[in-house]
Amino acid sequence: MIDTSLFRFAGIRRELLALAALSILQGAAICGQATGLTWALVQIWYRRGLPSLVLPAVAFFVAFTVRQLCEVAKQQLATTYADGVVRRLRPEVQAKVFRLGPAALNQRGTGSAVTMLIDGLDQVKTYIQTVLPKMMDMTFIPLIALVVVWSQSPLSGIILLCMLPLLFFFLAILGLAARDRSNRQYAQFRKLNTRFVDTILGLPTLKMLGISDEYEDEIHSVSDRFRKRTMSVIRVALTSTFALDFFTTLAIAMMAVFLGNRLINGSVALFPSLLALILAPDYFLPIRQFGDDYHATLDGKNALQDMQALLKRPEPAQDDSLDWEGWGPDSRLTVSHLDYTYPTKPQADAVVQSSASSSRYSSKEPGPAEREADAESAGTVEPALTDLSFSFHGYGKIAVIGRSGAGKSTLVQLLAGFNAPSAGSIDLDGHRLEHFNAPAWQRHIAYIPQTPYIFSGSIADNIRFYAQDASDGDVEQAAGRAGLDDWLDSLPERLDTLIGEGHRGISGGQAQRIALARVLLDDSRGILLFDEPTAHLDIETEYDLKQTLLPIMEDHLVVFATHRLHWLSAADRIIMLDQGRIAAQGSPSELIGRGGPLDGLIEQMGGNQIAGYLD
Amino acid sequence: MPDTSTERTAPAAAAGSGRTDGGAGAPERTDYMKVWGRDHWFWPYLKMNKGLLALIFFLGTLTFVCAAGLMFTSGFLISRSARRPFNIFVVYVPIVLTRAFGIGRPVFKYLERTRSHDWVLRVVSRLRVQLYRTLSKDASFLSEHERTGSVLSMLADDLDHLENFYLRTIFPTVVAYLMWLVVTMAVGVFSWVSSLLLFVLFALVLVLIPLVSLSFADGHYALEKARRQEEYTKVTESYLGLSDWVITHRGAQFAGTGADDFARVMDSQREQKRFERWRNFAIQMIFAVMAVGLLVGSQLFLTGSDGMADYAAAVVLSLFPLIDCFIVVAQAFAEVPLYTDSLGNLNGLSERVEARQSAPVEQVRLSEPVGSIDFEHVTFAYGPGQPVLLDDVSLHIQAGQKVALLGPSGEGKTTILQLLLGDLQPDSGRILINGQPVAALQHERPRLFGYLNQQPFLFNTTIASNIRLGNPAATDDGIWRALEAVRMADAVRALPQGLDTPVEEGGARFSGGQRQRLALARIVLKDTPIVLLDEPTIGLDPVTEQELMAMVMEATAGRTLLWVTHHLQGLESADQVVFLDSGRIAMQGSPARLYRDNPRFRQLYRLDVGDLASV
Repeated sequence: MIDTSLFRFAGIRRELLALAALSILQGAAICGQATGLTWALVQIWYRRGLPSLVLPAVAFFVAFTVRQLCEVAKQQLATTYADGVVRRLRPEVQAKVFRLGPAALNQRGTGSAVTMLIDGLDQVKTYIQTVLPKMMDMTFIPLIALVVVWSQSPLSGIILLCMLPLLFFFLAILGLAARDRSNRQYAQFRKLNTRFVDTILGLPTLKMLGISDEYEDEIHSVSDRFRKRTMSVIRVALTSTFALDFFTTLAIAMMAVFLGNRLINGSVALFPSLLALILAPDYFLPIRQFGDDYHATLDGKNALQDMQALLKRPEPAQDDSLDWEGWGPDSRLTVSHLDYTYPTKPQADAVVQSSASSSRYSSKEPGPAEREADAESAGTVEPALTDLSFSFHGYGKIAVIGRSGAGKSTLVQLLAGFNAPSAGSIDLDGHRLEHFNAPAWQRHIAYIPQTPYIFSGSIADNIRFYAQDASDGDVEQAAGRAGLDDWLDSLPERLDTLIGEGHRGISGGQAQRIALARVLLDDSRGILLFDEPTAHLDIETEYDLKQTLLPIMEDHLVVFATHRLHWLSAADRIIMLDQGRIAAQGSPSELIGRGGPLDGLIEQMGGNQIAGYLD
Repeated sequence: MPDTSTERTAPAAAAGSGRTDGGAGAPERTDYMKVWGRDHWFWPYLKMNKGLLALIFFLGTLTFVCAAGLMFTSGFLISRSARRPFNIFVVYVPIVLTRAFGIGRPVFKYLERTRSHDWVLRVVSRLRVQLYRTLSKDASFLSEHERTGSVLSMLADDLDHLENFYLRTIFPTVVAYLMWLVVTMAVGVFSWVSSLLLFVLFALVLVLIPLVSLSFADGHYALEKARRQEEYTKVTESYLGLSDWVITHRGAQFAGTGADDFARVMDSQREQKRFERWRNFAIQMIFAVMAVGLLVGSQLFLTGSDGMADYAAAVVLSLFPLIDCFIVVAQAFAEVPLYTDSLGNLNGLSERVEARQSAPVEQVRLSEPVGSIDFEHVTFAYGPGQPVLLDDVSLHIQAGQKVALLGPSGEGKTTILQLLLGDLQPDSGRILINGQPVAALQHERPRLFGYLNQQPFLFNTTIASNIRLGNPAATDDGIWRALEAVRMADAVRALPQGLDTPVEEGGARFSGGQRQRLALARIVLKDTPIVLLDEPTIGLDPVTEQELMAMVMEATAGRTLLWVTHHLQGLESADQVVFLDSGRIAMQGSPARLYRDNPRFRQLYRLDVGDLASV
């Protein structure tokens, strides 16, 4: 239950020292409280009258109060500490996610990353604030209680001490064995739970197939199996608690009987016997509590490991030295023999998947972007790029075309600097670059994916994302050029309308137009990178959007990855990718209708069937 | 709330934390009367299996009676032995009782815990069936939320909360109250005055402090929930838009996304923790006062003789094990807002479902094969004030026809399919099959329709089980034939486990196109006369799209096909194309005629197939 990574947090030593000091003070207070109580009871036993009771009762009360105050202070310390750790951890994780970039995030899955940040931090906090004081209590309190009991009645001390290895034996052997078993069962138990959620999620399908009634029985039997499974998990856990409980109460009972016998013999006095009896439960308490929140802390431990694995991941290199003024009509970019291989998926993610498998369902349905990434990676093997050489000069529209998994998106992401090439050389207006992850380059690009980034806020705020201090007039104008006027006119609050989660929903076409308005508002971005801008839109929206896009694309360097053939006639240059290699490149007239590879692709995609209609 | 916005709205809608009713507004206090007053999910089950429930409460009470009894008899044993009776048999009874209580406590605790878990799991088992039954009664609820499966899985989470409600709140509270009664009566045997005083002190611990706790937690719970949700939304949005943050180099701002919500949650949790610490301290101090009171009481009433004085230690010591029993009640109350919230969700569901149950229509059988489908002047809106999705739409479809439905997103294409299925009822007009209204054909529905939505659901089981849902009696040969029809047979044959390959959660093992085809195989197997497809090719690349549509046409030969599409590819095999615009049919006719006569259609068609004639 303790993770060594805990000991690497800042200030952990001081924290542990303070907790240890409080635990020791608490142990002393527990003994003081027991002494006061015993003393009072002995006075009553001798029937010495009320005044004799004052001092012991006050002693008991004071020691009791000190003990409880120690508890409050420990909790306070641990909570504050855990609070601090988590507050420092959040920006660290966020900064790491930022530096790792969108490609790494997509690989991990947006939903799982958000879960890690929000639920994970919460679990880490619970873990830290629970485990630290418990650890200290278990180390010191039994020891202090044992010393005091021993000094008063060595026999009782021996009984308590004898019970200790027995308790640890059960805590360790039986407990660990049970946990091992219960972990395995826990996994099955999760699986069954998932099964129920699965059936609920599939209910529309079952209903449609007309077998939803039959599945009611299935739910019942799954549920029943679930219950039995859970019971067997719980029974294991309960048996180990039972063993711990049994030995502690048995120890107390044994001690009482032993002491009774010795008292009758006269070989021991009342005070030490009673003190031993009173201290015995407090001696066992920290040990019993230690094993209590196993599963609660397990989640926290896993979340912490997951975060630390993330923080340790190597970051892509960034080139801050590039001094470049932006793309102009005479700019030239030459890329030669560029290679790119996908990094292998890091192992750490598997931990989260298993520990968060039930919560994955609950609220984190994969977002559309993620689903897309899923489809891409599941459908094809390792989309990599091999030996790409091309050159862009001045303004122009470059279409990157190819089948799914040919590497179109990868190339665009490479140009945006989200991925770094593994080999090849890049020359940008005489500057040599290793990769495109350079602030000076990124300041001049705009990247528009299939589902552009829309956050909850007003439409104007969304449009201002690249140029935050743009005037209202400029925003209005950009929105107009992006073709948003008709839509805005239908909204009473126009640009101040709130959009995003929990507000007004917007369509895919509107989202694309907002992204366009963003680009239009910031004229320093002379390079536009599109990743399938119209693939998800219905044909009419696509048509309208294309009419808006074409004039905007003038006076820019535009690279757009697409599998929609109609863009080809609008392009100045086409790069056709096939399995990560350039199959053909050139102007449309050079590539189409010459029986080359592009014609083959067009044929496969069902292009140019108009002839059939004219018959 | 029906989501009438379009399919590709803010991506966070699917990835966020689910329910959107939280918002950022001022958190409101729970209306307990409203939630608990009209309840279908809690009270009915508390009445279930009353005998077992009584046994659980009895065992729980007995556990603490034994715990107190152990200290009572031990204290007595030691006090009596200290008088040095000349014979061990004087203390024989306390010795036996000490052992009995010592063994009884863990045994009863074990029994209580196993029984109570068993009882709760049985209840949850029935709750699952109830949830399933409630959901399956309301197909329109399901179709509305098809895309946001998170709502469904959150309901499953709510059931888990109810499970904890029994275990963490109901059982401990009832046991504590029973112990309150037992203690009051037991002390009453010695002294009615002390009993009354104790009763009042216990009332503080068991009534007043828990109620204060509840009221404190209520406000905090609502605030934390709302803020958490905000944080989820903001972080998910920013993660989905990470590429834009990266190219604008706003790492610091990105890291701060949702940070204020996070800080508010942390602050609120800290306040709660502080409250809990001092609350527990207060409870402990009440027990200290009780202990001192018992000491004084023993001094006053139990010092009449040596024999009576021997009971002093017994009485005072038996107080301490009871702290464990009583201190949990305050925390149990503090968790009530969480459970009430879950209960409120489930009750809300029941009420919505009840409210939407339309008057039963007398069902008829369709004896002859499907001949025609008619929409007669159908008008539909999701509710008053909502946009009219269909405005006086009439449509006649002959059996065996292939009809394509097109139109901008959010224009009611899917609604037409749902109206035809009978999941939605038109505001006016009729929908007829062979002249019979579909509302009267609901029993026939599984036999009549095969329906494939945009993201077909695959159950987390094998390929064979998933496909067999279409026809539970199908042989393996039948399944292979269906797989052949959807061109998946080779892919499945290549898998080591063949038909028994698990498809994994949500069909994750397969790409989007493969998932579509597996779901389609169900429909092929089902062999219904009418097949409805809702954008079956969305998100697929054109080559796959082309292949899939060709395969669909072949597999549905001779059947009536209605498919919603956003592309015009594959349209040449349609008998009828229907364009919806603003709730009305804008264009209608055979594709060849539309192409000849309708310039707009021609324009769109050329765009879609990538008219390269100009190159």
